[in-house]
Order: sequence, then C-alpha cells, then structure tokens
Amino acid sequence: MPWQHDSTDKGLSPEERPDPEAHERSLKAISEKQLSRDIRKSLKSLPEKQRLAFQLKALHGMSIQEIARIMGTAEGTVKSHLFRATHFLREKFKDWEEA
Amino acid sequence: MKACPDRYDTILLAAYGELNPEQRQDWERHLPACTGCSDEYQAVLRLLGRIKESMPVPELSEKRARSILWSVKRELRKEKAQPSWWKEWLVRPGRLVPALATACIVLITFGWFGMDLIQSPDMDQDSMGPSVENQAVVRDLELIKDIDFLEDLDTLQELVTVLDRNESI
Repeated sequence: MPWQHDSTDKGLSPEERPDPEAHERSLKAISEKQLSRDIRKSLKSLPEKQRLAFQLKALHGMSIQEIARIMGTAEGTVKSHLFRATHFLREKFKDWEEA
Repeated sequence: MKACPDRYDTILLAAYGELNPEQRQDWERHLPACTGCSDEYQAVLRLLGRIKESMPVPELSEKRARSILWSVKRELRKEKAQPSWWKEWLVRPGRLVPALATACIVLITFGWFGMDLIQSPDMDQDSMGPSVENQAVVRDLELIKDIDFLEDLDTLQELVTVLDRNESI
C-alpha cells in the first residue's frame, strides 16, 4: 500500500503521514457503498411480486395480512413471495456475511 | 453447522416477527438447542438490517409531516362541508355573478314590459281620446244635469200654471 511506504519515510512530518485508521474507514465506506449498490441492484432484479412483498415487509414493516390485502392475494402466496425473495438475497449476500 | 432444513420457514417468519404464539414457543425452545438455526436466524436478521440501512424509507421532517397533516385535514374539511350540487353551482364566483346579472336583466325586462302592459290601455285611451267607459260616464253626468234641468223646468211649468190660475181668478 502506498501509505504504508509513505509512513515509513523518515522525511515526512506526522501531519503529512497518512492515517491508517482513516484509510481503513474510507475502505469500509467504499465497501459499504458497494454493498448498498449491490443490494439495490439485487432487489431490482427480483420478480415484481417478490420485490413488492419483500419491500412492504422488510422496509415498511407491514404484516403479512396487510400485504396480502394490498396485493390482493392470499397470505400463503405473500409468504411464498417473501421467502423466495429472502432466500435469493440470503444466497446472494452469503459472501458478504461470511466476510 | 447448517440450519435444520424443516425449520427454514420458521427462521424467516421469526426474523419477520410473524410467528404465532404456538410457533414462537416451539421456536424459543428450539433456538438455544440448535446452533445452525441460531446462526442462520442471526444472519437473516443482519441481512435484513443491512438491507434496511441501504434502502432507507424516506423520513419526513416534522415540518413536512405537519404540513401534510394540515393539507389532509383541510381536504377532509372541504369534503365534509361540500354543499349540494346547486349550491356548489351557484356559489362558484365564475357562475354566481353571471347568474345574478341574468336574473337582474330578466327582472328589469319583465318589469319594464309588465308595467308597460298595465299602463298601455290608459295611455292608448289618452292618445285616442276618452274611453267608451269615460264617455258613458260623461253621458250619464249630462243626463243627470238634464234631469236636474228638466226638474227645474217642471218646477217652472208648475209656477207658470199657478200664476196663470191666479191671473184667471
């Protein structure tokens, strides 16, 4: 890493030396942004009904009963959409979870 | 360790808070005993939390929420106070003024011609001379005058007769 080389340089003042913690923070921020982008992309790739059921449940906190009423379907169907969407996302972000 | 395959739906329902009391009791009994299910449950919760963070539901500021509430209340009040169709039709400024103007014109027109019709017989008579009725009245008055005259004549005649009789005596 360039900052690691720089930090060992004796000619640099403490103000000039890059902060390893700041570097880590920015790396984390980049990876968080990337992850958020991936999540949004994955949600968009879901079939319409699965995405709707998932968004209403996970983001808006609605009950399955309410979602069923909104979507005009049976509660079992909503559960099925929700499970499929969650399973898809779980599989997609397993690596992120493990990392 | 993997989660129990027959419990995957329960894990998701638990993560979404959709377990019924009976299922929850069973789940709470199973959770401490099964590391695989517990790990999967925690992973799903983390994933959902992460997704929620990535796609935050837009939060309304207090000011904005108040303004929306105010406009909703205003609309509801408007709906409640909605007048009947004819009132609504009349009260609209674009319609009220022309309607009033038309009513005034109609009143003035009918008033004018109505008065004209009432007054016209006399006016016609005045322009053409005394009416038949008036002529009759004048004739009657003349007759009354004639009768008076005749009565005077009778009196005179009687006087003449009396004078003549006196002269003859």
